[in-house]
Amino acid sequence: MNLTGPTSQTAISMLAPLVAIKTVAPLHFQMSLLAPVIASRALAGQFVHVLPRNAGASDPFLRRAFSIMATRGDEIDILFRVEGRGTRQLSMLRVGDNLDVLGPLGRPFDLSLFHVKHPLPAILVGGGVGVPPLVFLAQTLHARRITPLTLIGARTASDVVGEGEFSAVGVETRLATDDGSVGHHGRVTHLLEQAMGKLPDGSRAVIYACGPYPMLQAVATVAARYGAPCQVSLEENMPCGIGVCNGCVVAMKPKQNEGDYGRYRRICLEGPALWAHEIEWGKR
Amino acid sequence: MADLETQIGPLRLRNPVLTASGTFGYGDEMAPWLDLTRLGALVCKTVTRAPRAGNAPPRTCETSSGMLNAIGLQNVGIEAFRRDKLPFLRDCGTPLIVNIAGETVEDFAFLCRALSEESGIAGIELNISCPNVAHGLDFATDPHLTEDVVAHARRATSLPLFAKLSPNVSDITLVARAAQNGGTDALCVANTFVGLAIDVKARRPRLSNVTGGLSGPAIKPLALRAVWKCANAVSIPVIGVGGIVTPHDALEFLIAGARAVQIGSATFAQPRAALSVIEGIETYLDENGFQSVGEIVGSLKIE
Repeated sequence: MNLTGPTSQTAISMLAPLVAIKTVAPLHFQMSLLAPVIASRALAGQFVHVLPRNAGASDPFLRRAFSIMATRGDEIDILFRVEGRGTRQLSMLRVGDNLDVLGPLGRPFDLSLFHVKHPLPAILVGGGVGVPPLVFLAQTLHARRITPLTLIGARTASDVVGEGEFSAVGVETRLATDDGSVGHHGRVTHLLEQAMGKLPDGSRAVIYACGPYPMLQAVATVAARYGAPCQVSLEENMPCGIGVCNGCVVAMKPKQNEGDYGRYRRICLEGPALWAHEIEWGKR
Repeated sequence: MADLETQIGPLRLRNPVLTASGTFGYGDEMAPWLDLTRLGALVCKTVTRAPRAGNAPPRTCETSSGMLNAIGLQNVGIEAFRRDKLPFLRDCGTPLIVNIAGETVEDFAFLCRALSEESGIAGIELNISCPNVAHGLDFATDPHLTEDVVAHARRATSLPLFAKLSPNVSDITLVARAAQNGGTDALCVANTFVGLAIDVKARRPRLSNVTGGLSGPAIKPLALRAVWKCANAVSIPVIGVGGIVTPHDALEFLIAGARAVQIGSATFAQPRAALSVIEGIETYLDENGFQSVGEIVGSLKIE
């Protein structure tokens, strides 16, 4: 499958002014950054690496990776949940503050399967704060006249993000929550199984997923059962984001004629979106 | 403009700022981010005799003003290095130091011989201090092993040698002298400090390898002391490394006695970190009336 695509060669380092910040759910923040070059180059599935401190400070030491949720003219949007020190610092920034940003980084989602006259149905599966790259993907597919079905999983109703963005491009969204406060009471993968079961030929759907590791593993299992191509966008502690530290790796299934060396791939450079069937699930 | 040139054994470098192994890949990944020709030298990621897959994830985690890593020396192996990585590195316009590691003294000698057959290599750094591999490649925790491995490498190559020491010892000067006796041209002081971080919710280590090497600003005072001790204990040049982020940090190491410094995990946060350190050293020298960087090396005043 197509492994070509933008790499860090197209990425830049810049100070991006914060042009908007809002709370979209408890502890969930959405930011707009003025970053014309990044906005003009970014493709769905790519991320930015953001320094969560002032230049003079030494803590928190490392950048934080955020999927690009949307581009709008000269701006990019990101969305995050406050999880630790870095995201807390970022959530306290104000309009006009500058963020030190690298991007766009990583390979975009592989859309090569859509280069056909009769596009395949696409199903997007997002869990929690894994939704943002799927918003960008839905917009990208919409521009190609492909309307995906979107399935969103969250802990509870107030944690559901991105619904408005999907409906803005006419995308149907189905919800699942752990506590049943909205939508299906249970896992988002149940919704995926239902959707696949209703397709005349499930193997002809393409699945894109981003969310917590157990969800991605479950999505990969469903996809494999139907023989449907599936890309998952992975997350891992990511010190550099540009391929030099070898920190953010994922175990891949061994390939023929490839020694042990190729077992791990860098999520920042060869991902974050990878084909689910190539991943050695459970090795984390 | 002050003269930034520095002499590391037989090597004359245009400035005293090098990259630290394992933080700069094989150079090609970094080329889009900074002008490689401005570096004092480029030290590439460790190469071993056979390819190594490295450790399972998670391999890194952030800590206070620093990070732990246990990559496990993932690398392509010497054969693929020579074929796939060296052509770019030897032509990248900056002196190349190849960092090597082995499980035995014979591995080190083999790698030194292999690299001696190649053109375009300015020197070899002996990684005798990696804390993150199963069978313990940390020769540098023992003076006798250190002298032995350095001596084997010395006999195997006429290229300049740096011995990269471990800080995880009670008296680093014993190992420093042993490496000097073995015939190294310079010391690289030091590697990461072994550390541990725990996820209290899961009550599990945050790294799959359990422990990892601590780097970043958190270790700077510890590394600085080690450099100062070593510089006073040996007659060969010392290259300081550990937590250097700013020009100020680098100047501290030079004043403590380092003839050069390496920029490590600072590159992860700021790809251009090494260049801003070079620029800042130059500014400091000019503003304080120094003609050359050599004037401040080892200039620490202790009453």
